[in-house]
Amino acid sequence: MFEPGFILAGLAVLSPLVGALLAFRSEQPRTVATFATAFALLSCVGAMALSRPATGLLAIDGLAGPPAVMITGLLLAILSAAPRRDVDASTCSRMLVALAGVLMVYAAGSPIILFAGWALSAFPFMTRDRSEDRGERSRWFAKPMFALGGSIVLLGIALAFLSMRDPDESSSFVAFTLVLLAVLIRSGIFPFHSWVIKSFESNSFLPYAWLLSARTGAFLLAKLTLPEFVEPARAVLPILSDLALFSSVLMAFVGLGEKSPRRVLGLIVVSQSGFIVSGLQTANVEGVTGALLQWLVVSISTVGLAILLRCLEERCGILLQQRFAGLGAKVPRMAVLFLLFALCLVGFPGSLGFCAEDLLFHGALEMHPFLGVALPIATALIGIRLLGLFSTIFLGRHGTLVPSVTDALPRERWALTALVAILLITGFIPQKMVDSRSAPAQAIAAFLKDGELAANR
Amino acid sequence: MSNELLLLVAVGAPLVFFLLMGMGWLLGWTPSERTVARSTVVTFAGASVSVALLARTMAIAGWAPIRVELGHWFSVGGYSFPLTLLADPLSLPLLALTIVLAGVIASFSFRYLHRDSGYFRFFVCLHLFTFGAALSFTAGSFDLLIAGWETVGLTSVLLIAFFNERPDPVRNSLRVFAVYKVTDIGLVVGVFLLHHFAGSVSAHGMVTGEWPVSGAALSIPAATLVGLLLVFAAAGKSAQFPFSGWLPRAMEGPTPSSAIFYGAIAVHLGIYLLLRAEPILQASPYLPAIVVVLGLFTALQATLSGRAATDAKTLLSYAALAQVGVIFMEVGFGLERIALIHMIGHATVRTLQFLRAPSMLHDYHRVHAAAGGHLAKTGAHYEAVLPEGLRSWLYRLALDRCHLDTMLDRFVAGPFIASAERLAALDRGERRQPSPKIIPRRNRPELIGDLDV
Repeated sequence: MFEPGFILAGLAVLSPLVGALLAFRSEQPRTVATFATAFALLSCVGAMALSRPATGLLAIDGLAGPPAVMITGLLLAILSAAPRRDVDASTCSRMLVALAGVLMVYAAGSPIILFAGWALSAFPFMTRDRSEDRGERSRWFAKPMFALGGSIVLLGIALAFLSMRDPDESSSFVAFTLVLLAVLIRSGIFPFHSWVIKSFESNSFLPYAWLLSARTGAFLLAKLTLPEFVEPARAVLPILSDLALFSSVLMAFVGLGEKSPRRVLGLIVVSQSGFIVSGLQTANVEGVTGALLQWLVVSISTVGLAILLRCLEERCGILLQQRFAGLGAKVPRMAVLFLLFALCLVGFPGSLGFCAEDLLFHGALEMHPFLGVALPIATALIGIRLLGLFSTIFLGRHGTLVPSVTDALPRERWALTALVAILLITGFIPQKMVDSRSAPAQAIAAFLKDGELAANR
Repeated sequence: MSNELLLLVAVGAPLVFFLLMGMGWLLGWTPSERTVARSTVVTFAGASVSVALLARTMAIAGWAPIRVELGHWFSVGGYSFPLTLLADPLSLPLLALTIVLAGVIASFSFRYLHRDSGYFRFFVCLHLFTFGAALSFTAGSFDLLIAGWETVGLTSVLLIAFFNERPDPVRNSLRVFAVYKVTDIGLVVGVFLLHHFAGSVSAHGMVTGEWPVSGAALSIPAATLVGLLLVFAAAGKSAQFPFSGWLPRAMEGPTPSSAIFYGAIAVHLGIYLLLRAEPILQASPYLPAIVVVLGLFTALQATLSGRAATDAKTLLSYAALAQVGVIFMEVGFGLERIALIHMIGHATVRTLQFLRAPSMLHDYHRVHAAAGGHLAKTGAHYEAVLPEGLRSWLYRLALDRCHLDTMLDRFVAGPFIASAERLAALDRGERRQPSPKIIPRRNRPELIGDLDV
């Protein structure tokens, strides 16, 4: 029970909770939150190194290890690089609680812990942001609060079905369908995408961008390799996969007609979510590995872009919406970082995104040829829109709209350069990263293909 | 030095420059012009010597191909991404051409861009482009070719927007990027299907034998489908019909980049793809004819439009386009060796013309002033034999570049973007769209270029 892996996983979950309590009362919440997150990061790294295969109530196994390290690292980057007003005591505490929840989902060894983590990660985002504009036009079901709450309820009911003493075929089917609905909502797959876009319009959208990069929905899907789910999976997953694929292309297309940078980013997040979910259903090692890699790429890139966008908004405000704002001359390093994140996101050669997309393509050859056609189309649309956004913000007449703007501060530059470096270095030398993802991918592919329950990830 | 190492140095040297300079700058270092110039000289001198030694070795060995296996970039299960470079009678001349012309362009640009605020940016992009083109030409598999192909596309777009303080270069770069990305779908899906039909995920087994004597192991329908997608990609990259409109727009970049991209290397990349995939084209009874027709249309359109061009670079771009169209026809007729020689000759002459264009105009004005403005009109006016009405109609056609951009905007890009905007408005919850303003046709914005609004 008290193996080193368990202790470290427990510390990874507990330290953010303790940090949240301290940060809420602290004069320097950012510093407290940074230390708590750094401690959680070290614990995650240690737990990942120690706990294979996954045993016990809490264990960070091969599937959960890299995402756990990534999501903790991303929070660290946000705490380091985000504008000061985005990391006040309340936000720091909420994000730390959510981090604990996400890590609980990743490390869960039992359905109860999984559910607790699922709820805990969503709970801080279900409270209303007081600074939110009350004149918003979105309908009630599009609100993040209802979406996240709905996913909690659905998962709860599904787990209740599963906890029945002798679950028959129909109850397994119902449970599986409810879980999939929860996954759809949490991942923002069409038609449940509105809450994601809406969340990107809230005053401070960095916490939402971070929460979405955790991709707890996709993780749950990858973890559903239970024996009682073999038959429901065969019946329902192809439909989910096609829906996710449709969602990806549709959202990329809608993004092409969208003008607000924030909404564009939200649409890209939703579009890429679809590919990850769809890629997990390719039922072969290449495709699933590609999907798991794409998860990391999209999460790091979108959080990087979100941080840059937020920093620029703080400096220039509404000018970002102007045509050809010409900020590139004032903030050249931010411009280059933006371009690099965008290129990594669309799989530019030399980045990890290229490897992920290549694997997704080849994985799709066998089982899912539509993915092989849809992926380049959506990627091209996203690429065109991101370059358009880059041009709008950074190119144009120098200094006519903004007389003086500071380029990336050292804390911003180092945090963002580190994220870019991870994407590029793992892109140039990807084998280690690919290996870390191919082991759990084998288990998922075996489950989908042969219905085998692979105990060892 | 072994052949493998020579090939590796020729392809990799510009990448090393790009990575060192790029990462250094990102971390706060800004190198001086002298540092950039000296590093560039070392890079291109090393690459040129490597290519020369490699050519000598290959000539002695009777032009037998050299294949450099660098292992696998990554591998999962039964799939691996092979890192294989190939120097054969097709790729080596083009590699040499790329290295030599890029070196010439760099040497020209030391003075041309002296004290320009974008000096460093230009050289970083030039090196990345050289690496991308060299990788495309020496790629031992179509997967690796995609990597080089996309690199060339990106650097091309970045250099078109070089003078980004003006909106036109930015707008045109976006348009070029849109054309590239859309037509690149053809390459990616084509390669995807190539793997699918060949029943293999590696390059082996798709094309057999060595260039130019090789065959494809594909059925006629499969070869036609794959070939069509590859021709689509090649037409986009080489600005063939109906995508010709982007080439004159790409002239917004600095003259040296116009020379290397649109006079010499990048515009010929599509032809290289077709030459490399020649066995697939020949396996289908329809594709060679399609390639010939595309080339013919482009050559005619470029010749006509070029006659109404009012500036030197646009005129040169149309002249280049017409020649590329002719080379397309040669590929379609199966004249691979002639196409290769034509491509190398054309690239060299056109680079010289582009680089000479600014000083030539200066010289012309000087001579014109010296002659008191009484220089005789030049050009043989064959148009004079045509009836007046037809001449006016042709002139209008040439002025609007044969309506190609207008038709693409009105029938493809316009409805596509309008649908996307309508869906985006719906997604925002805007139930009623504001009534569209009626804009006279001549004042309508260009649709793809306005994506960034």
